[in-house]
Amino acid sequence: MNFFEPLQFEFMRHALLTGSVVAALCAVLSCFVVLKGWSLMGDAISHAVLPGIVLAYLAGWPLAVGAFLSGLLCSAATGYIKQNSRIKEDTVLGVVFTGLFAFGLVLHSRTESELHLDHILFGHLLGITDSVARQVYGVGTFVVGLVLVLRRDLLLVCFDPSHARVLALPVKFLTYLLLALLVLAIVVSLQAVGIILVIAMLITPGCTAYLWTDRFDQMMVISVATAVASTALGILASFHLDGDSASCIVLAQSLAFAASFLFAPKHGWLASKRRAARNSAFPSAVS
Amino acid sequence: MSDSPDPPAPLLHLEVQQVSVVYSNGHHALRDATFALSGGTICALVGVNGSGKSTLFKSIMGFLRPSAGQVRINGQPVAAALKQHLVAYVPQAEEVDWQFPVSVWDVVMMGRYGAMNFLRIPRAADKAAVEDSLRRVSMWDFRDRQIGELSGGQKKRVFLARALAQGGRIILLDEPFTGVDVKTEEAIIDLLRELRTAGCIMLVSTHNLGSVPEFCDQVVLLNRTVLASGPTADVFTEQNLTTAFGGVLRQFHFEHSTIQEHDGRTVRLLTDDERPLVFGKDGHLEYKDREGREDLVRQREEQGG
Amino acid sequence: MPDFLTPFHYDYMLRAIWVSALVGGVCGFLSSFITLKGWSLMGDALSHAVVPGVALAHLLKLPFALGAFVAGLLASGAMALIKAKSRIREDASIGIVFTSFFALGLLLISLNPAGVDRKTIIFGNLLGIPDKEVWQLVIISAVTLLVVGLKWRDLMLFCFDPNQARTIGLRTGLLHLTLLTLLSATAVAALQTVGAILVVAMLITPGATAYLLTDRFGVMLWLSAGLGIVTSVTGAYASYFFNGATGGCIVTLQTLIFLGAFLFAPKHGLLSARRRARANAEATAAS
Repeated sequence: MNFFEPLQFEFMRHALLTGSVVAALCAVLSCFVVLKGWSLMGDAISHAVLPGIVLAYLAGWPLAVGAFLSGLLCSAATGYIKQNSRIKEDTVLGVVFTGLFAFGLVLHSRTESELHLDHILFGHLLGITDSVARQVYGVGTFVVGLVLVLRRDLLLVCFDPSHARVLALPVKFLTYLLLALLVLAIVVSLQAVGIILVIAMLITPGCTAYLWTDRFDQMMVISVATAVASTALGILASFHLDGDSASCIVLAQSLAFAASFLFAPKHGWLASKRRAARNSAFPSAVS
Repeated sequence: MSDSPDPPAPLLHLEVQQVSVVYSNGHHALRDATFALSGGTICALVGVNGSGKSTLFKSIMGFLRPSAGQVRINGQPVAAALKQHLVAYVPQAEEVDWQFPVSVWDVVMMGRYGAMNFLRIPRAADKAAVEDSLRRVSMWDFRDRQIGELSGGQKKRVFLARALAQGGRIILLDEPFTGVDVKTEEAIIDLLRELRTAGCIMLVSTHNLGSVPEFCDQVVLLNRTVLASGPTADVFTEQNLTTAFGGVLRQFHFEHSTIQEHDGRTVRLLTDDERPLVFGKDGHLEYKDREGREDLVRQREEQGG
Repeated sequence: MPDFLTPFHYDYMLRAIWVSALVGGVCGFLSSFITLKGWSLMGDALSHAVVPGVALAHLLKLPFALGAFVAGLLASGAMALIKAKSRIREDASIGIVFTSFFALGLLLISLNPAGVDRKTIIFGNLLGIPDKEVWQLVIISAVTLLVVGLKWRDLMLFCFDPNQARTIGLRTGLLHLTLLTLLSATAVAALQTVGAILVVAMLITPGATAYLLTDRFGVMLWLSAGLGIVTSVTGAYASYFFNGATGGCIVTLQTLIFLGAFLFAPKHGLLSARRRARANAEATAAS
């Protein structure tokens, strides 16, 4: 069978489209996550949405609303505890997100629900419903559009918050806006790829792009390109292997990262090795 | 301990021989650095940021393998000297996690670990050494404090006590006087002098140029290599310092400044290691250049006249 | 017979309770080192990264601990390599590696549905744990306790001041590896009781709680171990009433105790800090 043959199936085309939108959305944000050092924050938020989802289900609200609120609660609680105790930020994050996730599990165990924990944790890209797909497209367009419009301000806030404050930018507002966009992206993405792997989509493409370029705009383009290409590759591979699609997407992204780590022209391992060899051969060239 | 009734310790030598260090990213941090010290001495390590001071420290502590040359302590390689616990290190305040749940006593006891048994259970001798070191830096009364509860000077003294308890004979001090009040600075210097008498080698990296001639008998000037080394009087010359610091060091030429005859020879000089603040006779500010301040100069001439 | 005694009438409950006490105690012991060393993210990462090892071990009929151990070491090697040889920040490189490993694990599991159950890995399986796995847990715990018991002073110095440890001739590389090994070994043990996602809570929350309660390392060690044991036993017991959500119960309990300590700890708690601040303000106002 031809590698691209699965595309003749309607549900595969569907999955490919939704997957690509999710990948592009996460890839745009991943540039900020990587530069701001929010990797663990992304991980934490993606887990912390669970109790919100369960509670929203019980209350009959849209799941995304509950997830959003509980993701925000996680980052707010972390900020508060960190400011008011002597514990390091990463430890606080770990304590808070596991606490929320555990609470979500306990809640879920006490509810006779049709809420598929499996789908929340691992995603369900191949069986995604139209309403979820529409949610993904809507939120995706909104978030990416907003980020593109505000990208210079957001970049300055990530790079040099004090300078941004001096320029009278609303730094606090922009930081929280970025955080809120991150939560929003996680909430819609996890319906496609699941809680556990959405974090990979929020870290890996940005890191890959960071190895290729020193320009932020280029970084966003490369990040989106590798993310979408890996998603397509992953979905097709998962069809042929008959394996979990979210895992295949993440692994394809990891391969792209591994290749960049080795071969990227300036910041790759081989390139810096060559540079080091040249330097020690002609030490006078350094000064 | 250095003041135990052991036979007098043999003369100590530290030799840095043509050491070059290239980091894996290709950065050439040190090239062909050479100098030698014999105990007891207090030697200042002076140079701009990025001149290789910490790289040199790391080479002496054996954390870095030089890409060329070697460091020898008493004729042995560093690894052998570390096994005898000869090298002690007093870290910069920023390197320490002050919230760590350990007391002053615990920290100083850590200096003894190298000499302890497998389980690191302190014997009477270890406890005596810790007590003695704490008393020498006058921190015995603070032994049960958590380390974060101390003042800047007290923190420094605790880590100095740890070096003493370890019985280190080559003591590396990284910026020991930052965040320390003048009284503690003097107390630390007194202690260093005592250790010099006992035959130790102290290598002090410092930005505090003014205090170097006060207590250091030798100086190593560093800028990615050793520019000069030897007795303070020979090395700590204006010419050498200008080479080491280039334009980085602030200068104040009296003949170009606003200081005038009527100030006599008394001006007060305040400095935070950067650029001195100079006050004239009546406590008025003096400026580095006369240019642009002709009015001021004339005015003061009239007053002085 | 009162209802609350029913769990003790089942052998599997009794076994679950003592096994969780053991694992909780060992994780608690180690959590002091993990929180002080600032390895929270590392704990999270390793607990996810061991999953492909467990899956492969099941496939090859090897002890799961062995597979997990090898996977954990490979992952930490990959993290160290990326951090050392590229300009990617440490948190991002950890994120990339652990998500890749986890995705690989999930893919392996999805390719081999007859092998280990995905749910077991994510949520743990304390109530249905087979005998030979209990033995592996006992061995892991015994070795960890022995090593920590003998070398806790060295490990403490390594966490506090690795430079000093090196100058007095301790082998810091070996200590680093020891701590990493113990971390992945206990991560595997905790994987069985609370599942991959909540392992990190077992490895940091008791330590973080104890850190708020004391300024003495020795006290902190015992306190965190005690907290680990008490919460694990109570959680395992409570899970009888919560549909088997053992991990959720244990970690929710741990988080509640942490919050209690955060508010009420005698010296480092929020309320006592507030009191101190108020007393200071009054003192300055009076003077």
